[in-house]
Order: sequence, then C-alpha cells, then structure tokens
Amino acid sequence: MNQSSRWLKLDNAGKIFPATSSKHETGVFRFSCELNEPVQESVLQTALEKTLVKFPHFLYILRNGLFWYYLEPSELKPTCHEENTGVCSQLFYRNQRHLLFDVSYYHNRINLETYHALADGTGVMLFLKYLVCSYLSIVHPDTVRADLADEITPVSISSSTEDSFKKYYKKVAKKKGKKPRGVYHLTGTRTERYTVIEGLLPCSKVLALAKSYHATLTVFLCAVLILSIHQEMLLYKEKKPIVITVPVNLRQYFTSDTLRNFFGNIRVSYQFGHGPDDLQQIIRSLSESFSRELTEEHLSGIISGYMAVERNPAVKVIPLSVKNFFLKIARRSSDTGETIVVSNIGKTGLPQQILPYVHHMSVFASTTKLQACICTCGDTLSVGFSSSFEETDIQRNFFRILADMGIEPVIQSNSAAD
Amino acid sequence: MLYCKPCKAKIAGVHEHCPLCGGNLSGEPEKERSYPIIAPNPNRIKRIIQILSISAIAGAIICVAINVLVPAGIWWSLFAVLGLACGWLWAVVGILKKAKLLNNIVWQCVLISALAFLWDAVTGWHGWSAEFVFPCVCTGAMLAVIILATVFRMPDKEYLILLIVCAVIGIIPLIFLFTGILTVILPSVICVAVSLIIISIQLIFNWKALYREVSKKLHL
Repeated sequence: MNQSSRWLKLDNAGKIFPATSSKHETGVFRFSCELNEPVQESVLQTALEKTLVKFPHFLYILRNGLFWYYLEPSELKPTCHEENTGVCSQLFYRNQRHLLFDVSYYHNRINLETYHALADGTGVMLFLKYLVCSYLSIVHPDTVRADLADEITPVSISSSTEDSFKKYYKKVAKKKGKKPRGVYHLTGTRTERYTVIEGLLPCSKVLALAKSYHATLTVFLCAVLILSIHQEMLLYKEKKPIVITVPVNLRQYFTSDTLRNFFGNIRVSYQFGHGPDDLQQIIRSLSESFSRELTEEHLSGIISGYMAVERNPAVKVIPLSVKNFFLKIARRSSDTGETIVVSNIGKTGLPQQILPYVHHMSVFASTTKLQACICTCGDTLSVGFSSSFEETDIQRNFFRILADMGIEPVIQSNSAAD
Repeated sequence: MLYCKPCKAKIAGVHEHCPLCGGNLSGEPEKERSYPIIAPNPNRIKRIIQILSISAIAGAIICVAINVLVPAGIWWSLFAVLGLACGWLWAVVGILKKAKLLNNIVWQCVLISALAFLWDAVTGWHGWSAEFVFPCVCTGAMLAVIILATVFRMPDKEYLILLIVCAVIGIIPLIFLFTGILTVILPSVICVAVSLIIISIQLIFNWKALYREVSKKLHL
C-alpha cells in the first residue's frame, strides 16, 4: 500500500476530542522531561527527526469526512522551538492544516504536547522516551549507546496504529450503575490559559506513607485530594459527593501494542458526613471502589458502552457538523458528573543509563476545571495540577497536607500572579 | 531556591509570591524562570471579523437612517441592508476558510450562487442568477481547482474530492435546461459539458484514487 492510501479511522476515544475541543478545553496534554543540562535546539531537532522515523503515525493530520473525522499522513515537517505558548494550548484548528503534536524546549526542559485524538499517555510516553534517549545519545555518545532508544520500542508499526477498542469490543448487557447525584463542582475565576502547579515529591517517602495506610499510591493521593477539596467546601454543600474520574490504561487488562488511544474512565466517589471522615476512612472507601471498578468484566462493560454509541447506525449517518453539536452536549453532560480528574501515568521506566541526566518528568492535561496528573521518574514523584481557574486553594491544601505528614514538595509553577 | 514557610514548600524558578498561597517568600530566587512569560496573543482573525461586523452593522443603520430622513418614496435602504449582509457573510466565510484555499473555492461557489438566487428572487425573478451566475461560478470554480492543483502540484488527496463536488454541482444546470426556465442556455450548456468531461476523465484515468477518496470521506 502506498503512503497516501494509509488513512486511519479515529479510534473510539479519539472521536470525542475533535468534536468537543476548543480554545478553552484544548484536548491537548503535555509530557515533559527536565534534564540536568540546557537543551540544544539543533540536537533536539535531529533527535526528533530520528524519532519520527520510528513513530510515523505522529505525522498524521486530522481531516473531516462527511460523517467522521479521519487521520491522514501529511507532508508537514515539525520543527522544535523554544516554548512560546501556554501549557497545553490549542493544537487542533478546524480550518487549518496543523500537525497534532508539538515539541518545544525551555532551558533544561523538553516538552512534548499532543492532541488526544492522536494518541494517549502510553503512546506519547514511548515517543518522549525515544526522543530523550536519542537526544542524550547524541550529546553524550560515550555513556549513552545510540541503539538504546531502539530497545524501548519493540512495537511494530502496524500494530502500533491498531484500534484496540474495536478488537476487544463484545456486546455486554449494560448494567445500570448507581450514579451519584448532585455532584460537587469546583468553581472559580476562569483564566485565559491553564495555570499549572507541579509538586515534586520524594517517591519512596510517599510510597512508605501510602503503605502505612495500606493504600496504593493512586488511592492515597486521591484521598489526600478529597480532603483538600473538602477544606474548601461550603458547609451547605458539604453533603454533595466528590467524584474523581480516573482514566485507566486498558493495556494493563487487555493485551495491546497500540500507540493510539486505549483507555477508559472509571469514577470513584466519596460523600462526607458518614463517620469520622478522616484519611483512613476515605482510603478504605476509595480502595473498595477501585477494586470494584477495576475488574476485567467491568472494564469490558465500559469498552462496550463506548463502542455501542459509535456503532449505533442512527449515530453513524448523522452528518459530522450535527454530530459535533450532539457530542459537545454529551461531553458537557458527562462532565457534570465529576468533580476532578486524576490521572496516574505511573512509572516512566526510563533506561538506567540515562537517569543521571534526567531531573524529573512531568505530565499536564487540558481540563475544564482541575486535573491532576501523577508520574514517577527515578525517585521523583511529580504531581502536576492543571487548572482553568485562578484560585489555587485546593492545590495549596493538597501540598500542605502532605507537608504536614513530613513530605515537603518542590513547587514549579507558571502562575502569572507575579 | 525560594521557600514558603506556611506551605513548607521550596519554590523553584523566579517568583515574587508563593504560587500556592500568595504569601511572601524567603530565600534567593533561581537564575531562570520555570516557565516563559507568554505575551498575550491577539487573535487577528477575530479582530478582522469584529471590524467587518461593526462596519456592516453601522453601514446598515446609517442607510436606514438616511432613508428615513430623506424620503425617497421607496425603501431602497432595505436593499442596501441585504447587500451588506450578503457581503458580510461572503467575507467572513472567506476569512474563516482562508487556510484551505480549495475548500474556500467550493464554499464561495455555493455561497455566491445561493446569494445570487436570493437576490434574483427578491428583485422579482428575472432568471439572471440561473442563466449566468450559477453556471459561470461553477465553471469558474472547476477551472480554478484544476489550475491551482496543477500549479501547486497537489497530490490527488488534496483536490480530487473537491473537484468532484464542483463537477456534481455543475450538473445541476441540466435540470434547469430540461425544465425550460432558461432563455439564454449557452453558459449552462458549457457548465454541464465541462462537468461531465471532468467526471469522465477522473472515472477513466483516476478511478482508484477517486474510489479511495470517496470511501475516506464517506466512511461510517
């Protein structure tokens, strides 16, 4: 097959983003890697070109058909540049031809921003790891082998663009889960750009602390977050449930090599006013919810629920612009069911040889309200909050609670307050 | 590194106040900021559309006002208002679609034809829109797409589907020819002939690419 005929349908999760993203909810997420030395632009460009040979599907652009958007290879050539836009700013414009990712640098940091229709966290993390390895192997040829990058991605190009939602779709009767009603929503003064606040924490300490509560890292941090939200709740709203949406990497449950989207959202909630409401109780409640939600059967039901919409013939034949309108409404109504999104990327798994050159890695995602992204590199745990509000009370509470437990953070922020 | 005592947090980069609590910081700031200062980015397109809109609205109001003040016996200002509205719509579509040249041509082709039919209908049907404007605009659009695609050496995925859309629209005058509402038939005959030739050429020489493009655009 020649290059021009290898077009791709959007995967299930990717279909929602072009319809709903806008200047304020950009559908873009950023993975960045801070090195211990300044980044050299020309070397980064060389490394980027080398990386794109391995990840050709990042060169796809989004085009519209009559019924759906689709991805098509483009001849556009990306150039890396000094960071000159806000974090997670818009990458997809309906009336323009534009690559769906962007590589930039700022002093020691390499940023990779990607539009969510193209790939999810797992795919982008592989891309960034390959890029960083290639970069370091050019700058430090003595200590970093040139073929180190190739060991990261054993994935073949064909399976990397597979639509795994389709592969694991089977019809499952929809179980009506109880959805919490009257969910608590965060409010605040909206800003032009996302405010990001990132806290770097010693991972081993946080893990030890989580273990002392018999909790996993995600559960522990979610519980601390719920406490910090609670501190800002008005008394008469206190009884409203706090709902956390957690994107789950479905590759952990269903074998897949795809670099495109393959994640599902689960929701866990906590309602104050039933018992002591301390950290211990919140953790116990969250642990139960997580183990209930994170079963293969339940996740399979989630995939089936997503796919049922896409496969509905009535939905299929609606023209794209009308479909966009309805998808926007659906997205908005789904957003009203959540308070905050917490996404744990997990361990970055950088090769040992390059760890001495890497300070830390961080993740941020676009959001309508507040989102926390967690990722671990070496012994540095990064908790990155991106927010569309000026207020930073919840972030402050979060890091203060951790500091009171003896884990003092190092804060990085783009806050424009000064 | 800076330090915020109440938050018990070290603050990297250059800050005057704590990004968490807004309080005062102790210690020395680092040499470099953590994030660049982003200058506000004025949205040029939005500004141009705003200026166009206010010009159109102000122009319309002034026309009506003059019409009221200087009685002329007819409401000529209504035509001026309609004209301004058409011009505004035409310009805004053109600006919004400016990055995609060929797309823009097809849009303009449809829009200009529709506005011409509207004017013809409003001013008591004389048939000029169907006789001249519609076939000429369609023929022009087809030729423009072909010329631009050749000059810029576009791959067929960039222009093929748009050319076919123009050609299919270009067959519509055939209906007018058969219903016999036209008195001047030359432009319509040329337009239909060009459309049919273009479709035949693509079907004979390029049907694989054509099939691929159509299945791409119409996939369910």
